Order: sequence, then structure tokens, then C-alpha cells
Amino acid sequence: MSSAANRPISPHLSVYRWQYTMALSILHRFTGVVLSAGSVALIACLLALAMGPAEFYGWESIFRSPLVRLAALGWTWCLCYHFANGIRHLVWDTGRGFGLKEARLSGWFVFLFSLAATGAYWWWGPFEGRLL
Amino acid sequence: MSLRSPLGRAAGLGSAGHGVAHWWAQRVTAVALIPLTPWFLLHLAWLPSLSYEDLLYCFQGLGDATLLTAFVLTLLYHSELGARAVLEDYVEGGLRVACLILSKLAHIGLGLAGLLAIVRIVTQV
Repeated sequence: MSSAANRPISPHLSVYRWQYTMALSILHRFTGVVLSAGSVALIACLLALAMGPAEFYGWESIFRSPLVRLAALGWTWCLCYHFANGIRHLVWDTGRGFGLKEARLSGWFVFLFSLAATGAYWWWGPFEGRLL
Repeated sequence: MSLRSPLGRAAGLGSAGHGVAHWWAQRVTAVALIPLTPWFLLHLAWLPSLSYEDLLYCFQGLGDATLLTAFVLTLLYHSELGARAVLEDYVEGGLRVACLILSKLAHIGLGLAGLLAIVRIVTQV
């Protein structure tokens, strides 16, 4: 096993020229981690709802605070991005879409979709465009 | 000490014997989340307000409660698989084991809390 431990580790990120598809790739992980952390807030909301009106309205000031609103906006974008890019990954799993042009095009599509969907949801969704 | 060659031992096992199960579960939960996530977001978006009564009412129907349960549990399962992959990649040694145990227990805890919360939401008058 000692020889295995000294083997060079792939990928050698430092030898590659920077490309935006790399940023899209690491963003999938980043948004995934944010969504995992956000699931704690999601469960907290369900618990607040389960505990009855008194507790719910007691917690409501926290839910409606600007910082939490901003976090919710960020979480919404992470969800939209991870959702669209996840579908991109599922398509890749079928062996399709690996061409340079296709991969770049789908990357742009995913990124623009995430911005548009987040904006639309924030504007027309339950928050009605209110950030603060 | 095995008499089999390293290749013979590794052949057909995948990364560590269970790699395929992890990969497959990640895909199955991902596919399940494709309809469940928009359902959850749009369900909230169509509410007249985010008041206690409206939120409670919109999840109390048996169909809605079932979908909410499916969404929460699938999301947490998918989250646990993803968190495990990230921890295995970036954390090493004893800390990795500690983080993996903590992540798994946290996800199970969140799942139980979410499940019991939904039961109370459904039974609330």
C-alpha cells in the first residue's frame, strides 16, 4: 500500500488554463453545500409551523428579518442553479452533451436560467419582490 | 493476506465495493427531486400569503402532506450523499470520520424532526 500512497493525485488543476466551465463545475458543489446547510432552516420552518400559531408568530420576526430574507434569496438561487446543473449532469450520465460547444452552451443556459428563475420567483413568488 | 492479485480483488467492485450504490442512489434521488422541487416552490408561490393559516392549510391535505414528506426525505437523503462526497474529498484522517458520523447523524435528526413536524401539521386543527 505504500506505493499507492505516494502516487500523484489527479486532477492536476494547476496545469489547466482557467475556463468558466470550471467555475460552473465547482459551483455545483458549492451550491450543494449551501443547500444542505439551508435544509436546517427548512426543517426549522416546518417545526415552527408544527408548534402552533403562538410559536410561529414568535419566530416570524426572525423569518422576516432582512438578513434571513437575503439568505433565503441566496438559497433560492443555489436551488435553481443546482437544479438546472443537476439536470445537465443527468444528461451527461446518458453519455450525451460532452462536446466542447454543447458543454459550454448548456453551461451558459444553466447559469442564465438560474438567474432568471431566481428573479422570477422572487418577484412573483411568495415574497412578492420584497427583500426587506 | 490474500493469494489473489490486487487486480483480481478489485475487479468488478467499483471504487470501494459500494461506489455504484452511492452513485445510483444519488441519481435516483436527483430524478425524484426534479418534479418535487418545483412542486414545493410553486405550492408556496400560489399561496395568498405566508400567514400561519395559509401555510398550515396548504400542507394539510393528504396528497400535499405526502408530497411534502417525499420532498423533505428525498432532499435530506440527497443532501447526505452529497455532503459525504464533499467530506470524503476535502477532509482527511480522523477528522473525516468524525465529520462523516456527524453529517449522517445530523441528517437523520433533521429527517426525524421534519417527519414529526409534518405529522403535527397534518393533525393540527
